[in-house]
Amino acid sequence: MGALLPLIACLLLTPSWAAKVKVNEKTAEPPPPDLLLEGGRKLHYERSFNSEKETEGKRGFFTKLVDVVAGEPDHPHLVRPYSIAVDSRGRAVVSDPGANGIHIFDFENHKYKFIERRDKDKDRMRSPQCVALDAQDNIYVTDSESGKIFVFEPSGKFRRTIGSLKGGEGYFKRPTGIAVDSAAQRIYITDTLRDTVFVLDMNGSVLQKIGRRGNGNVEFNLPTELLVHDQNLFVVDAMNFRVQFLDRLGAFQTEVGGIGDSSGTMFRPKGIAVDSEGHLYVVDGLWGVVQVFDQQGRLLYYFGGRGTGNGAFQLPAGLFIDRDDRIFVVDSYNRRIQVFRYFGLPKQAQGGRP
Amino acid sequence: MWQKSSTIRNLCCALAGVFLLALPAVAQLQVGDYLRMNLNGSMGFNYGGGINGGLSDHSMGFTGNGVLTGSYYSPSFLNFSVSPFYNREQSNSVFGSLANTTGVSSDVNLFNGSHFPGSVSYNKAFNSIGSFGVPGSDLGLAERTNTQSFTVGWSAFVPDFPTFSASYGIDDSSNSIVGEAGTDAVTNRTLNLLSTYRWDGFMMTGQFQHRNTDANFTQFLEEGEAPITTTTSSNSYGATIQHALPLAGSFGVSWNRLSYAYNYQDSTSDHNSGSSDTVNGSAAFHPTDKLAVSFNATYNDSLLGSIPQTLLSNGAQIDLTEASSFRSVLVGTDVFYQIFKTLGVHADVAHEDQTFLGQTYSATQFGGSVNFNFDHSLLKGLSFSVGVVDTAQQATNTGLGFVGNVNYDRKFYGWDVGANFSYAQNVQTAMLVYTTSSYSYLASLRRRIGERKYFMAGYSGSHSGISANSGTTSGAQRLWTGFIYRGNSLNAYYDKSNGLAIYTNAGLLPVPATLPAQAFAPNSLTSYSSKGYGVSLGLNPTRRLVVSASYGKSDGSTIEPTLSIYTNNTLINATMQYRLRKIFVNGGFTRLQQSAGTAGTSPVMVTSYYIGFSRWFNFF
Repeated sequence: MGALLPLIACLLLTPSWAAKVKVNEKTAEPPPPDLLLEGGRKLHYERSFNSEKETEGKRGFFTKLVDVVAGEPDHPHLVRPYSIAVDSRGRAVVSDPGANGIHIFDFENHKYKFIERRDKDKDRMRSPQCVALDAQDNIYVTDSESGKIFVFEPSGKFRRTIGSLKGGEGYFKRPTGIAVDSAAQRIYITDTLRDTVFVLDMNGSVLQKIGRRGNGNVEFNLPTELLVHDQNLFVVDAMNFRVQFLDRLGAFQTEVGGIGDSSGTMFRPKGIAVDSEGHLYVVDGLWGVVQVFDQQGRLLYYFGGRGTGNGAFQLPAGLFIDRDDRIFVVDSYNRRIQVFRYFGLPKQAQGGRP
Repeated sequence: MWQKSSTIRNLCCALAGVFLLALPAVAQLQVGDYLRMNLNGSMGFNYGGGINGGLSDHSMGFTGNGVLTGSYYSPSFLNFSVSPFYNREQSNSVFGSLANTTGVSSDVNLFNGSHFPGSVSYNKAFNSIGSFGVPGSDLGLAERTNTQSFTVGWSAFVPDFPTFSASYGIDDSSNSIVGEAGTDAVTNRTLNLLSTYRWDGFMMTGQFQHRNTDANFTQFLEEGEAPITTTTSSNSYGATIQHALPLAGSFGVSWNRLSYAYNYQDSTSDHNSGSSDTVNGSAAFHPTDKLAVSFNATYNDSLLGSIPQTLLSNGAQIDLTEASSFRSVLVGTDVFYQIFKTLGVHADVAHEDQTFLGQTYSATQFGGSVNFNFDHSLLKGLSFSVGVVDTAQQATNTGLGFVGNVNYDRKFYGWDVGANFSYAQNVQTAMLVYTTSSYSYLASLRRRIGERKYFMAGYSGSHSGISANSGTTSGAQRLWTGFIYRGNSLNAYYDKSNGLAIYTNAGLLPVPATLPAQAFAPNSLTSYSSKGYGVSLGLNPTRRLVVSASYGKSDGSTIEPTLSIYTNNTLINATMQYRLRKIFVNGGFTRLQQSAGTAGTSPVMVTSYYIGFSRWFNFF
């Protein structure tokens, strides 16, 4: 047996074989070209990440040696990511119903943490959906199966649940979208099966209910994600194929979308986010694109497309834009987060560089 | 000394070579323009030893396994997988690490997704550990086995034409019971042809199977007896036609012919051959959600049609008494009506004419049953069905038969309680002149007693036999309990059983309850009795460490017409595995004490242990 291995090595290195045998290294795929937009704006693809490995820093000699001898460790990775939020320290918090937990990627400090509560007797987290953060970076997660909202400290330590009833079940039928307004001390939650947006105080008491079933103004058909931005409350009205713009009190402002398969229409609207110029980004899960609308609801442009390469999506879901206009798209079926950066006019005028 | 140093030096060189080969991992190897391959696997080194019959031995050497997958031109055109293994520990066998196995499994698929897909597979395993079946025993008797199989298949799926599939396979195995002299061997050759065609609402199927079994097995239980040699050849043809009918109905007609030839030889010789034709026609209607009606007619001209193929394919001594004189015609109808959501009634009537042992029997059977599911809050989870069967022959009445079933499944203060009791009295067997009676019961408890802590226990049993026919009863009882805490578990069981069995190459197989013992030649059956108990422990103290240990003991006795045989074995088995990234540290210990023979036969005692490591690589 000992003699067999050198024999195989020699055989592979024999010139006649070597000419025919080649090792196809898995090379990095080139990034998509920048999307050049009107007025010198542009959208730039930055990178993607999907596992703990991406948070690692530079590896030393000893670490490399251990990797060669014992093999690389098993890096926890995204399974079926759904939603994302980025906190004030730049950490990406990703909900993952497939892994039944929350991933926290801290690229700056080269740390990774996974939060789960699958084996707990009390307050077991069963299917985490959307994630939101407050001003102190506390993490709020909707659990569509248990009907509760889970609150974790920035370190990942469990703090409490919102919406727990005495018998242990949740108050909500199927909570999905969540947004936290720390300044106003309000939590907004969509209960998809009740076609209602609940407004809570920070203790979890219900202050207001917005909407009912229907297709008119402030009426919903299975609402999912929502977003609070400035004075607006954006609600993804999924099966009415639109996004409704409401004010903080629930009064109708305007809407974008409508059913269809052309640009500007929506078929499976998912995550929404707003950039520094007030443009609304809407993910369409089925078409695998992100559509961008201005404040008047006009379509500006879209990016993406169905596929597995860089810049393409398969069943994208969550969306988040940080204060530097980095756009995080949860590419759910490709098991990754793709990061883009939008360069708008003000940043270029101030000397921002790509 | 010099030799040992040389071995260690070679070992170090080889391991260094392996690590170097593994460096350019995470890639794909391409040979020429079209052949692409991936290879991963484990390589390791083991030290092992054993004590067999008072003699000890030690050895060390490489272990390894690999998975080579690849394709030529494209995966749809040709893809393949080859998985060799060398000195693989048998820690996954119930008998632990008694042997190290070497072999390969491989398959090639051609034209996947096309109208003409094909496949070829080859498997070989040398020196693995198997179990020689003993009814009622969880362990059976440990045996060493060598197996080899080759199968080739091809299909044609052309739109608007009949589909066609053909496969041919050869498999052979040899096995020897640990501590016993002699080797058993079986070779099977099987040809399968299948065609289906859908035309104007008719779904038509035709099939043919040829099977040839050559078995050679020692009569280890009876010292001095000549080995048994059997040759069985069977052909099975069949065709079915199905079509939908109005009132949500359907009808179907099927025909099946099974013919066989059987040669048996030990100190005596025997030849047997026969054939069986079975024709069946049926129609069923579902005019409303609540009503279902069906009609059925079957003609069968040989008892052979009722014999399970497992007995034939394991080289069993099939010697049916007067099998050729069997005739059976059955016509019947069946009606079910759901009166309320919780209440349903069922009635059936069937007439059968049967010729057996030169006499003709005629009987009409009436049956009826009531199914009820309790919807009351206190009794929720309780359901039962009761029914009566009456079979009237031209000469006599077999007496009123009764069938009943009670189920209970409910949660009580955190306890998941389940119970079932079934009873059948004077129910028809394959032959009109015999009826069978049976009962079975099951009770189980399960409770979650804390965070990731579970307790469970249960007791089950069954008892059956041909009515008014002593010596045909069989029974089994089992008591079990278990406790699970996080990844750790503790389980224990006790069971005992008795009944009639037939001796085959795979062990003693229980005789099917629908076949009266009179259908077999008297010397082909064995009466058995066995009991056993065991306990097992599985520990997962850390995420990377898995430890398991088990103790099992079984005692059995068989009473043949001429000789009483006793089997006994005691097994202690323990394994551990620790994983550090891609490195696995494995260890195992097995101690087996086993005897089979007349009372007082000295047991053989085998002890085996190993410790070693392996490293998983993604070569290319």
